[in-house]
Amino acid sequence: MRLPRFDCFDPRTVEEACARLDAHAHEAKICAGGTDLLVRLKQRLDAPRALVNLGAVNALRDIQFDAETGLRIGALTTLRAIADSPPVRAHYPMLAQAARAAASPQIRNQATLGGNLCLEKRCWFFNQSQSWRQARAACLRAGGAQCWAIQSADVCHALVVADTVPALIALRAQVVITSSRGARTLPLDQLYAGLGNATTRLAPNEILTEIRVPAPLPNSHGVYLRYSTRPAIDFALVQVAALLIREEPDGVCREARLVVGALAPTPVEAQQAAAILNGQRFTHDVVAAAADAAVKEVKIVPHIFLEPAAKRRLARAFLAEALQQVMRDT
Amino acid sequence: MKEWIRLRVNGSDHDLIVESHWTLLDVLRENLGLTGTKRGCDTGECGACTVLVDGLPRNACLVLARSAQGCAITTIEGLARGGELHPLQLAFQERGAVQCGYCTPGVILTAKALLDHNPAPTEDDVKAAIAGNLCRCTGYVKITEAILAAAEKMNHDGASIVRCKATDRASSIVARQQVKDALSQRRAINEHAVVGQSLPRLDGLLKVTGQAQYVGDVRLPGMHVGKILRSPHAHARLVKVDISRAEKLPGVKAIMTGRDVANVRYAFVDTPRYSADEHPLAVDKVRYIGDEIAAVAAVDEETAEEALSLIDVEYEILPAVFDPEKAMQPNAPVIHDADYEGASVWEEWGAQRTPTSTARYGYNNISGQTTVEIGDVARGFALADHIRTDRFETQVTAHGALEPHCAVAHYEPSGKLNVWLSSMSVFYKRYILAKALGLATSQVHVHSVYVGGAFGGKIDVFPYEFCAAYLSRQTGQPVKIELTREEVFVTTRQRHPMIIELKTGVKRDGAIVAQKVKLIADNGAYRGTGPVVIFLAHAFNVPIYRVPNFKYTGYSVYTNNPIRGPQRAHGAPQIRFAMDSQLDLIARDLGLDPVKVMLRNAREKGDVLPNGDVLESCGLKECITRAVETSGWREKRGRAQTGRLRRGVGISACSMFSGAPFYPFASAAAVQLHDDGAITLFTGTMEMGQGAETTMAQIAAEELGIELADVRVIFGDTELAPIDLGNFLSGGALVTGKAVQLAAADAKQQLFKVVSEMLEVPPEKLTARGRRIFAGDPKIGMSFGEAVRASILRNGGNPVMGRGYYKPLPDTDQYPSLARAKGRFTPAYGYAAQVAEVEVDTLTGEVRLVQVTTFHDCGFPLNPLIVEGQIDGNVSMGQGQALCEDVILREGQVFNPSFLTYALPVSLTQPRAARGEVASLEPKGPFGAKEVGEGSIAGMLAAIANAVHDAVGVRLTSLPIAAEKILLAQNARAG
Ligand SMILES: Cc1cc2nc3c(=O)[nH]c(=O)nc-3n(C[C@H](O)[C@H](O)[C@H](O)COP(=O)(O)OP(=O)(O)OC[C@H]3O[C@@H](n4cnc5c(N)ncnc54)[C@H](O)[C@@H]3O)c2cc1C
Ligand code: FES
Ligand code: FES
Repeated sequence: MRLPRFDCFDPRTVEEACARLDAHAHEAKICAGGTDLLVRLKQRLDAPRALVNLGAVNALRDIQFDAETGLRIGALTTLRAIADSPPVRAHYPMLAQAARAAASPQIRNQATLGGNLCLEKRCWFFNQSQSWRQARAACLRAGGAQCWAIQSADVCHALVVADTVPALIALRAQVVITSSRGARTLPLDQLYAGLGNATTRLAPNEILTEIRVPAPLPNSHGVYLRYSTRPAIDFALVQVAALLIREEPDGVCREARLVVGALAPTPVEAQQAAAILNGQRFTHDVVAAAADAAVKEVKIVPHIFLEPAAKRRLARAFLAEALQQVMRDT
Repeated sequence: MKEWIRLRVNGSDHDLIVESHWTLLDVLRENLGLTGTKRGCDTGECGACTVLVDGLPRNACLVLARSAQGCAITTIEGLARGGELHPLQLAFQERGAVQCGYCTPGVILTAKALLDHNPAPTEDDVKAAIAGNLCRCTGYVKITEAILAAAEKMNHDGASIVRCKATDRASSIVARQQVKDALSQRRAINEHAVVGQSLPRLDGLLKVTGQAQYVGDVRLPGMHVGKILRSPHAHARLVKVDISRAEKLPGVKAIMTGRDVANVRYAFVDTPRYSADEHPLAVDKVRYIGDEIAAVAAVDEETAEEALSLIDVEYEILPAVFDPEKAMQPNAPVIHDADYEGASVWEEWGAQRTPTSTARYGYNNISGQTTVEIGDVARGFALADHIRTDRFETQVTAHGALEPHCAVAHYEPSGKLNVWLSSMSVFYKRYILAKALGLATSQVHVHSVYVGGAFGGKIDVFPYEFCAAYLSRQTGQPVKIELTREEVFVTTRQRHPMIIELKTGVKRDGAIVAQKVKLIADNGAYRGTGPVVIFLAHAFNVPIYRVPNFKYTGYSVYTNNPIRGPQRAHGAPQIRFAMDSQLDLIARDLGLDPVKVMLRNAREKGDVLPNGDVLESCGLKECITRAVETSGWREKRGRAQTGRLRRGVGISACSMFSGAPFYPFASAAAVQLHDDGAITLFTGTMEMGQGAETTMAQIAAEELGIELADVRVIFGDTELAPIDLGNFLSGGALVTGKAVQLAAADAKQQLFKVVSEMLEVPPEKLTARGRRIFAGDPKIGMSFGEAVRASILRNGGNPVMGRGYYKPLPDTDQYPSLARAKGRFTPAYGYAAQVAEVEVDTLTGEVRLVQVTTFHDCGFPLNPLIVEGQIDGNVSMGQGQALCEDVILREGQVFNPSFLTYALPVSLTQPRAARGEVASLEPKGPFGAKEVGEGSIAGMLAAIANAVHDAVGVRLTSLPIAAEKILLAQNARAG
């Protein structure tokens, strides 16, 4: 399976990369680790004239931690480096869990955090080879008139399924976005465009350059869990990130953040479920009520082999499990 | 964009001109000829292409070659520095961690990176490290063991390199010898010197060094690339196929369409009753999504792909049907409307084609029917104390061999066709290809290559193979067609999904008195092996339990789904799932132990099956009892549990043929004895991971009293090796093995004649052992080499060659009838019993396979290490089929044609394996050996389903047993 032809540029600095993107406007694609982009190109889901390869922009590769200001991760840091990073493991274990949960060891050695956050939305009717897609009319995402995932829908229902997203949303991460006109910062949950063809709100000439995570809060603990058919390689079918901040010494929950991913086009923060937990001491009943409430807050997109009801059952089970783990671990 | 790049590979710099869109994998394989880096998927899902980039494993198929500049790249070829093997390479070869070898280079490199970073890994560390390397053959068991052993050895030796030249043959024999010496301590007490020993494989060194050649590695000068245009519609009439635009594309060398080959027709089943229904390219209709329409040969892959997009096809869409039960209805669309007539490719062997008509079955779209009636079912049910009726459904599964199917064809001007094929029987493929191309059989030369896993999926002759040959004839140049992973999933056969309605009547003690089976197998758009699988589902089941009154009706049905074909134990997993699931339910109904019920009904040595097959060896009961004892069944079954994680055990049994009579009717073998005491063994068998090269060599060595290292094997080549049935229906050990033994015995007799004259003792008094031929005392006699030289000198220079052949069921000249299951099936049956222990997470519904205990009766284990490897592979495939593998189809379209979405088991889910052998010594087999390669997948499904029931009280009658189904069933039970 050959890649399509393209030109390739290797800027060495962010400025150079921005200049390249400006010069090639809509015809260029950013390539970070390439673990997703190259597959998409082989499947002819994209046909950019040029790739702007960030591999040589070494400034975007490091992880810095400061107990006051928190964590800063360069967009080109690999998932492996994050999973193995001592400060990440010590202060943000759920991020390490999420980074380690993705794909396979080989891919994690190459996949970047920036690429993971910008991973295009996926759908069983879209992420297929060119010849496969020819067996049906083009879907909305491919420029056609119909959504195959939900046939009555007039807007694309592909899903954000990248593993680090729910965990980083629960951690209230911000992303730094850079273009030739300067840099801006955005809370991560606002990066995603929701329903429709676009995955993120990035303009074609913008680069996600850095991820910032606030300093860890005292007495907080988070867990990231996912369900997939196999414990490696597969994308998640259900993702849950649960973060609890408790009051000492009585252990009452001060703030709960529950983020559920891979069910709806973008991860959903379950506010009502969090409200159930807030101010409560943990019992199995409270956990069960929160898990029940959380899955009711999400409008679940049907999956090719999992009915929404089945996904809901699984999501509920994994939420309950995540909350129990948080309870156990703290 | 072409550009110069410099790559540092295995320590040396290479300056190359590459296109910016070429991947590191493309460049390593095609530009640098480093074909030890394998292409399994090309999309980052399998790890076969793993290389080390600055010491870390990466998938070379997802790295742009130009981006790898400035990095140190290590491929498998670079591991054996200066020809010295890495301890991992030795450990893999020594411990049976290599089977087909296609995953091996990638796994070894991944493991090297692990050991470089973590010299003393735990078992869990190893499993986590190799989680991105798929292996279909080994179930990861021996791979994990080998990595741990290498780590231990490296820490112990304090050196990372052991002295052993990999490249030159003589010292690789030394290496083998060293390895063997180490293993000889573990040798079982065994009257034999070479067979029955866990000797390292002969092909191991080639595979751990990346030197083993597979079809995809064959490179010929001037080779064109072929690609196939396939139907995007499940059922349509071809109105127009216009190639005029494509022909004009520069670089296109030849294009063929159905019109060019309209009179070519063949099929796996081509009998008087069922005439062949496949054309190499669709002529008037396409019948499934993926059906072949046209083929192109061009100068490179890019051009071939572009040409396909320039072929204009106009379709008239026809109504399609995907559900076999709907396809059987009178108003269903008819998929094969014309009756096929004309000569059969088997005409020369006495077969006539008669028109096929589906009308006679009373249903629509029937491609085959098998009916068996034994005793009186109505009377039997009247005698029963308890009757159960259940319906079971099995899913579509894929073979998942890591090597994608590939063909290279080179037509010589003389009219000779050379082909390199991913195959399981070179002589069967040669015959069909020759007939289809209108060539004499002997004009087709199938060359020997290693096969990267097959599992039944490489038996059929496929259109791409025909097209490669045809296009090579058109262009006069070699043509290679390598299928993409998606094409492999969709167009190279899948396992038949089945609907099985089962009614069983038993006495109070569990004795079966009557059984009625209705089975429907969806064979997809072409007959494939439909009529065979419904026959085999019966034939692999009947040797297990005695059922006095039995009625079986099997239908194979056409639908517009992809074509189904043989897959490991062809038909057995489905029927065994149904039978032993139901038996477990019956035992529960009656309050009996299922083991007692199995033993109450199990067949024994000496039983005669309804078709006349005699069980001259049968270790079924012993397999059951020993699996039960070893697994701790009694303590584990029926535990009262209340926690979140609950465990359960289940059991099932299975049986398998050891070869059957079909073309070319017998397997032959030859040995040539060299004057230095070594021998060459010529056999037509295939080495696809199952270890035939090694076990056949062991048989020859044993018979001649020499060592394994003295045997060189020429295999799988239609010009260099004598005829062979090939490797399906598990005939390898018994049939080919017997031929090899007879060939060696023939040569031995010649030597004995000479030696007896020289020593003046009668030949019956002579023994060949330990590389000597002697009478009584090994000191009185001569070395094997001396005997060979003496024979040559005393017989006018006549070299010593032996030949032998074996035909399964030599006294029967009739094939079994597929429709009536009459006539003898096989010389012997292999047996297995399996106990599975699972742990079910009641919160999430996830099932973890904790342990599998398999006892297998393979007659006699010719090489226990290889036998264990076969069982591990079966267990892993069975685990996949029971728990996670499922080809998802909607309107005939495969939604998961990739290793990312079709879930082969990974290292992390590998269960603990306990395996044992029951040596029942089959009198017909070489040294008592019979089948081992297929059977033990078939017991896994019911064993797991029964174990899940034991754990959480949930019964699933459809596969796979996925978490969501368990949650659903639990919710339903909770009300
Ligand atoms: C077999 C397989 C299994 C996988 N399993 C998982 C999984 O389980 N979980 C998971 O999350 N992912 C999975 N992936 C997807 C992918 O590997 C990861 O998401 C990875 O993190 C993507 O990172 P990358 O650097 O390789 O991205 P790239 O492929 O380089 O880029 C991905 C996308 O992001 C854009 N992009 C990249 N970097 C930037 C940036 N800095 N600024 C703006 N845009 C950018 C690119 O243009 C592209 O559209 C899998 C992939 C494969 C092949
Ligand atoms: S070929 Fe690269 S991962 Fe499969
Ligand atoms: S040995 Fe691993 S795939 Fe065959």
